Amino acid sequence: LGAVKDSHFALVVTLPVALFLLSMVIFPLGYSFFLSLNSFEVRGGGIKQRFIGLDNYIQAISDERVLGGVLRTAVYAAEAIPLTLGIALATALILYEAFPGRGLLRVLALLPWAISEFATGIVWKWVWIEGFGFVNGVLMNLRLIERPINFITTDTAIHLIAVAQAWHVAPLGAFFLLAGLQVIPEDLLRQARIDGAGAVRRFFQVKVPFIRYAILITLVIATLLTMTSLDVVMLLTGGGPGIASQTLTYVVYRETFALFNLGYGAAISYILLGVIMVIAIVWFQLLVRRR
Amino acid sequence: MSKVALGIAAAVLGLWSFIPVYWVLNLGFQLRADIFTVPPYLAPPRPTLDNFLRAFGFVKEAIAGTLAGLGLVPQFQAGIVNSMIVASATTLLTIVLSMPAGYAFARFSFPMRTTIFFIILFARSLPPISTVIPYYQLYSITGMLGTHIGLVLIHMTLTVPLVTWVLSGFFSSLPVEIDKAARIDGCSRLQMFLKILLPLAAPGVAASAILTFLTSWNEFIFALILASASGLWTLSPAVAAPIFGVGSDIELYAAFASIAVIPALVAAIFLQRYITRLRIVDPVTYRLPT
Repeated sequence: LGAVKDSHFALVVTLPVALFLLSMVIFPLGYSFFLSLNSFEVRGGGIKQRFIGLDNYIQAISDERVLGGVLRTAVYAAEAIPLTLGIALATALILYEAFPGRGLLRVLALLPWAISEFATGIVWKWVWIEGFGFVNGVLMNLRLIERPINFITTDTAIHLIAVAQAWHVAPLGAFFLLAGLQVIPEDLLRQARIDGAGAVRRFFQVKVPFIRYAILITLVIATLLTMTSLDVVMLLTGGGPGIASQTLTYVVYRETFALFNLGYGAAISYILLGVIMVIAIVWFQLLVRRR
Repeated sequence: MSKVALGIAAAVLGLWSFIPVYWVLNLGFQLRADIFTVPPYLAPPRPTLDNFLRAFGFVKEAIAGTLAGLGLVPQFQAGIVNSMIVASATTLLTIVLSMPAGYAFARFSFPMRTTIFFIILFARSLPPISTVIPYYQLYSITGMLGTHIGLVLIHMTLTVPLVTWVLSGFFSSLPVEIDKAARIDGCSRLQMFLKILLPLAAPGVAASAILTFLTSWNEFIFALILASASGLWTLSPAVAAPIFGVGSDIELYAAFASIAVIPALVAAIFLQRYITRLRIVDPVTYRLPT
């Protein structure tokens, strides 16, 4: 093996991995594009398939359910992504300081990320639910309210999903940010303190330059995970009440698995994929322009 | 930050992170009679292991009118076994593929390096909901629905890109001089990798393995849809399915959910030490961000 050239070795260990992943990605992409050009009707126990060209796409861009899904995804992403970054920054700045019990707090702070998305949906459902929910439990035990309140309503559902999602994703960003903070030379911070810079100025002028890349990575991860998330919606609200929290991923799920409109579901998922790719490219441009 | 402010901030962070998990544990350790009292108890008034014993089948009696009698418990137990098998296989295969690949990206320049790296990363960015139907069709044709290997292959599309990325960052944080010195001392590449680099990289590899196991254990959508029958589910769908519409068996669900998050707790304990060392490599230059 020692005689093999480095570049050959590198190709042998990387190319098959890439080819495996490419085949696992190209097949579903191609097949779901094929599905999106067909209509499927459940008829007499069987499913009847018919080629309809781009009709699914044309129908989707004027479909209220799809447009509603896009709107709710936008609202939810606009809340969840900044919230994720905010929590991640706060977590990183707290864990950067030295204090007794920091090891335990690091474990607790990482826990929401280690827990699965679907379990995030479950635990947050039980935080808000009427009756045996946590918030109702605290409010009633403090005698602030007499009867349990239903927190998961038409007006709140989408925001509660954003909070739960941010809770789940933020710790990952926090630890990237913490890794960035830890390479700041001690002297730099000490000097800034001697120069009379307050905590806010030290943050923006000394710390931020070291964690710019980690901030961007956090935003990328938050965007991808938020926009492709389905589990939290399924478990926390089930898309409800009514259609109040049906994000675009949930609309795809419902069309495909509840209504068996495979072609229509695939077409909507392509629209979702397009939106995600556009955002990913924007983030990527930001990454490149950094230099 | 003043000490008081820091203390308050730390307490808020701890509560924010732990309370939702605490509440599930709280429900899991309560008796059925205590769960439905108004107002709910903030801690179990009569802590009990009953629900956990029922979850593992040590207590067999089903409470009338609850789902426990309807085959939920066997499904849950099969789920643990299936999850163990799938997550272990995914971990092993992911590390075997990603470790050399990560090392190669960190150390060598070779033709199409950028292209190959981006193909690997791109695989990770597809939403599962848009790939699950094609996989379903493919697997029903090839008879792979409900098989362990079928799920393992799909979980690898999630874990291999991530771990390759993470490990190439980790390997590039080890000084190149180590490789050179070992080669000059007459080590073959394989010897050098196994005897010198691997021990140095052990923390990164261990953390990656935990990360992989956890990703597979936690995965839900593919596991839900690609098992042709509920008896073949891994733990995630077995725990989540009954909660879609919350039934009457809350205390048992809470026990299920508590058990399902144990690996997360273990992983959090181990990973918090290593995770700040898992430098994410810059996909543009392969260099570590500073």
